[in-house]
Amino acid sequence: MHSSKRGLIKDMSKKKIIIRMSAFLALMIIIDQICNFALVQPGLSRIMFHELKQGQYNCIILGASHGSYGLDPEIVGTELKKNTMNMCMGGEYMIDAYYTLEYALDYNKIDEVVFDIDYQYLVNYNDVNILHNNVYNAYPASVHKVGYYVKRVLGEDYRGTMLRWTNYWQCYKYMGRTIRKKLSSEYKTYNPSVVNMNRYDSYMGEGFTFRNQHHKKDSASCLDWNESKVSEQEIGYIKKLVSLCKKKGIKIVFTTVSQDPATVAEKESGFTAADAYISKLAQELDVTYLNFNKIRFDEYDRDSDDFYDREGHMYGESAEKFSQLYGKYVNMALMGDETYKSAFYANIGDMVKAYKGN
Amino acid sequence: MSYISAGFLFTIALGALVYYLFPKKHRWLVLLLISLLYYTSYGFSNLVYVLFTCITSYIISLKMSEMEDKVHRKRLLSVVLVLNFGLLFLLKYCNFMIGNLNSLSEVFGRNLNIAKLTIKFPLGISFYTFQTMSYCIDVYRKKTEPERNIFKLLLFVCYLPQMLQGPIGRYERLGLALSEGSDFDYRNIERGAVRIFYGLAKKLILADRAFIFANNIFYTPDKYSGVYIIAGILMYSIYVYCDFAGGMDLVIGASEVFGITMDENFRQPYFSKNLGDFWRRWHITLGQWMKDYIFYPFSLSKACQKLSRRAKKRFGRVYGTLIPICLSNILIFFIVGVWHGASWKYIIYGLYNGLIIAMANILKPTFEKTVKLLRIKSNSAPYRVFQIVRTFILVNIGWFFDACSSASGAFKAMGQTFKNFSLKVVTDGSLLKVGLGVREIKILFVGVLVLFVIGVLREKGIDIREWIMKKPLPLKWAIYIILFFIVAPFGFVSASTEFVYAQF
Repeated sequence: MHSSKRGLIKDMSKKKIIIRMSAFLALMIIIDQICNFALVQPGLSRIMFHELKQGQYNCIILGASHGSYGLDPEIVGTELKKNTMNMCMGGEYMIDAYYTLEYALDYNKIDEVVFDIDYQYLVNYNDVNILHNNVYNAYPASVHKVGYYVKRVLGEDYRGTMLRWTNYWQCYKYMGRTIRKKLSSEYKTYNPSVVNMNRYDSYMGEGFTFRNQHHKKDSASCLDWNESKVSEQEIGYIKKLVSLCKKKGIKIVFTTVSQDPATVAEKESGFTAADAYISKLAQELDVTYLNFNKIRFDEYDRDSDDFYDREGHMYGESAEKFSQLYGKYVNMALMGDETYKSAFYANIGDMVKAYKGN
Repeated sequence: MSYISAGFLFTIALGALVYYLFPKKHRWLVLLLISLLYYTSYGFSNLVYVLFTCITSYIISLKMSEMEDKVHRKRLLSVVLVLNFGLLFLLKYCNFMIGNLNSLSEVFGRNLNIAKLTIKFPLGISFYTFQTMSYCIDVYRKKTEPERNIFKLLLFVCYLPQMLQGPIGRYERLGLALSEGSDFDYRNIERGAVRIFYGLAKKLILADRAFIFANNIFYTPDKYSGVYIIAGILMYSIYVYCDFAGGMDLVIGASEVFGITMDENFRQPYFSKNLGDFWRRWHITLGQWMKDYIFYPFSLSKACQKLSRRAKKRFGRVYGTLIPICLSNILIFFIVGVWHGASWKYIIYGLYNGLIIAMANILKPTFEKTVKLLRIKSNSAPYRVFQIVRTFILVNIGWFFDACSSASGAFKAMGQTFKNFSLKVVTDGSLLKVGLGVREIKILFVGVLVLFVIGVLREKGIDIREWIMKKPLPLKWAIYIILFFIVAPFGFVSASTEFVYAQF
């Protein structure tokens, strides 16, 4: 009798401890969610994923910020004769692109994928904190998110995974405005007006951001190519992406959007090595690679004034001009028409020579 | 998965849940499983080396325990030591030796040009090799019984929290505690979680921030001189302490969650009164290892005893006793230097520490006489502060070898300290252009102050964690929540969040 009573007390106290621990955890999660709601700023990526979910696209462009500023999907789509969605986002690594495609396939009947590769993303995977990753932060809840989560973030700083608001904590001054925005109908209907954008930028829909020519030129330049820093994991995801496309019968082409020719000339050896590396990879994977840094100047006349920084992000007007050519040659490549090659220089060196000759 | 990754924290949380759901006698299996899973997340090749160490130690320790003859046991011990330290040497120091041989051959006009090995260095090998060899030596000395279950020994070799950066545990404490398992106690989880977040605070708020400044200075020391170098080395001392001690807090805290108490590795090292004291407070388990397995066997060896007798005859009793001790110290710190890395800068770093400690031993009688002569009270607060500052300066001189990329770079940086020395850079804002702005410096300053106060309290035997744990529930929770939510935003955001000692 005595020992059973003691056992009962022990059980009670165990239960009490478990309830207390669960209550504490729940409290932490609630506070975390409140912080997320009040501090995390609404971004374009959330809207882009929503647009993608509408399921009206049969071509998707994947890539990073060069693509989001450089490719108007409406113009590219006209050339491709496909409803095209530009899912290029600043900070989109190969793994992010792969999971974006997985998500896109759930809602769309995709038959063409254009994968824009900026070599910088192959060499700096380990230099960037997950807190700044737009794709991960906006990736909607889905079955794929579990796989994405395990592969992408379990190894990263716990703050990026568990405490997303960390990156925005200095927005506490705008907490009231953020909460009001998130409670507004515009936010609920994915209206881009809720996004705090650079005042020279306009979101044109379907993933394209138009930067006004009045924006003062930034000084940011390209990272140097360094083959020893190429992330094996990133290359693995390019291969996975290609094999997923092949498995689903989707045509795929690799591209690199044109960058400031002055930067290409300045870092000629790096661009040449990166071009050789990606070309070799594309060849191994049996995918056509169009490096638009090599497009002839008589096809696409460009200079530093077409880009708002040395790294190679385009102004909107240049982007619209470029998108038409981009769509045209990507379409030829996808159709197996090899005459597109005549519009490109044989190598980066020839392009630089032509640029300097101008 | 680094210790600050979500993966590590999830592994600990989920691991603890499963651990306590299992019956006590099988709990070690859960720990083994999660340890292996965690270690293989760094690549399967790492596991091969761990298995090699475990299997050789298992077989040889069992064999040794069956033998009564000391000579035979010694032979077997030599085999396991040669195999494991040989492997460590091959992986860690072979390329260093090859590089030196190639350079030497060039000096003598013959270019050997021996190709370097391209083997991936297994994570934590220095730590688990030292830990496992201590087990073998203890079995040889009949200090501990050999483990008859190879999987339990494997757990001791690769126990998740400690395998990447220590502390270097002893089988008689850690090994047995792991095998026995622990009872569920809510306070262990609470204690462990608080310690984990204290470690995260040290790492993210202080270490990662101080690193930016120190790295900018010592990456290009030619660019800086005078006060910049002094500020850089002070930042480095914050960085290296908070990184390593923060990592230890994480490790020990994670282990506490499982109810397993690990050996402490730090005890307020920057409050040390002399360099010897510093090494008894810094990386304690490595120091203890060196003392038990190198210092005593060496200083009590026949050769050393003979030397001592001769020295006593020649220099008198005091110095005769001191000479073998000094030699043992120099040897130990030479090994400590080598342990830190395959580079001349680490060897010089080790010898610097060994020589200073040896000199301090030799000059101890002179110091004591001087203190008496000057009528200084050796237990007075000002004298203690003087001792602490003096030791801190000596420690910081040593950090030059750690902070710079090479030994010559360290000497150059030391030389630069005396060039263009102007205090103006402190007031004109020049120091704010080295990578950390006003806000960052303020956070760093407040953080160091908090760390200092906690250190002082600890020196007085007050444990803040225990003090908080005794508070009423609502107050306690409020403190925990504030601490948890403060670390994240005030922590420095950078991509490089690896712990410096994880590379050993």
